[in-house]
Amino acid sequence: MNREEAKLILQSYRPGGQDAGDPQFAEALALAKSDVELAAWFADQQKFDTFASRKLKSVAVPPDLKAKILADAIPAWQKIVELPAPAWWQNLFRSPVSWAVAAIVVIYLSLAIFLKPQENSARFADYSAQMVSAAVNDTNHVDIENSDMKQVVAWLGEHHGENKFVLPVALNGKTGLVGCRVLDWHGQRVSMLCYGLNGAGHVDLFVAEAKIFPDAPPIDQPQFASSGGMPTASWSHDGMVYLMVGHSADADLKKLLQPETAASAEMRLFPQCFRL
Amino acid sequence: MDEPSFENIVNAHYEPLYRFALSLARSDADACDLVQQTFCRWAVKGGQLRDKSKAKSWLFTTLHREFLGQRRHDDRFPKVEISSVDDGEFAAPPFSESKMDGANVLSALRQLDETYRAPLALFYLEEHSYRDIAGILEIPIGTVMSRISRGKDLLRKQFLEKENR
Repeated sequence: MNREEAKLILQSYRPGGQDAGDPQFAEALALAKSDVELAAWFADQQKFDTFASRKLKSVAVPPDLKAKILADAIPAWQKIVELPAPAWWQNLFRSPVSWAVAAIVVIYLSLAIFLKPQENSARFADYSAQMVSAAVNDTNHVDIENSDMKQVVAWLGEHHGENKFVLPVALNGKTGLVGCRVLDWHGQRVSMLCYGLNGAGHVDLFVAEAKIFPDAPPIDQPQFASSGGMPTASWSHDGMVYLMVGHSADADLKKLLQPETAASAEMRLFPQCFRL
Repeated sequence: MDEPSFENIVNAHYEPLYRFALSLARSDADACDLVQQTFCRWAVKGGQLRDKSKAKSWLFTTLHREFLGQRRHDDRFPKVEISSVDDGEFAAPPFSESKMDGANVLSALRQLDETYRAPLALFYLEEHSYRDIAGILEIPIGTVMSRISRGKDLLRKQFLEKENR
């Protein structure tokens, strides 16, 4: 271990000495004893950490906070604690025989589901609902932030996401790209491109292979709908399915994808498509 | 051993939880809300935690998730996870005890990017080891160590700036 490595480790050593027994720090602490410069650095760090820790812990807590917590949470706690005694059918599962019967039923149902054709699990509406939920609810909205389409495409390729897609003119790759993400849908990789567009706000475009959806949307004919309160547009093109999700209820995806000046449906969607 | 009562859990943890919340949130009221929501979640779901010795970590993890959930509405584009930041090392002068009080230290901490704020606040509250912090923030241990290290440099910069004003 060199001095710089020791410094990185010792930075996580709490000033109150709580980590003295942690073997992770032993080697770095030993080095600090024999290396004068490291020892001086560590002493200074500990002085700073002790000061910051003491001050942070001295921040006053509102005197009424505890009463508020108890007033808010205790009714919920009591409701849980006062749940009625288990019903007769709950007692059934206290016997090993019942567990064995239950296990057989579960295995039978699993086999039945496994052997059943997969069409139902790949319904486009289910896919759409799950992608909207991922777009709206997931903590990490994008895996990487990057506005350079070439780098985003390369990243998607490296992470086994779909990276051969044709973007509509509204997302022609020149502006507004924020980042991307790779998601999983029943074992199928789905790429998500996130855009912040002037005039249309925040939209996400999900791209997956069309063959997994028996009810994939029509080719080059955007279908406008709403899922989870968010506007969506979906279409197929060249073996891929595209799902666009707007992040505000009033996002006008129709206006975005079908400028009235273009003549045919395909021209409205892909007048100067950005092919990757 | 008897399970601790709900009030015992509150007594043991609400103060450090509040200080952690205060370092994350932008106002005292938001911090109080975060702590109250965390204990409401404990009231409903805490009974499902088999190992009650993990209550403290559960509460800090839940508070951090609550914070991230609230922030998501304001910021749809989180920062990319990074394991190290290298924009030039800060050579801090030797530290001399300053006249800064708790509010000043908290204010300096709040100036930092949230990437550093959360691990640093947990580190200085001294309730958790770096391993526990990694669990609470749901990031790798190496990332916690580099964020604590980099966060301290940035905090010292903030201290110097505040004292030189």
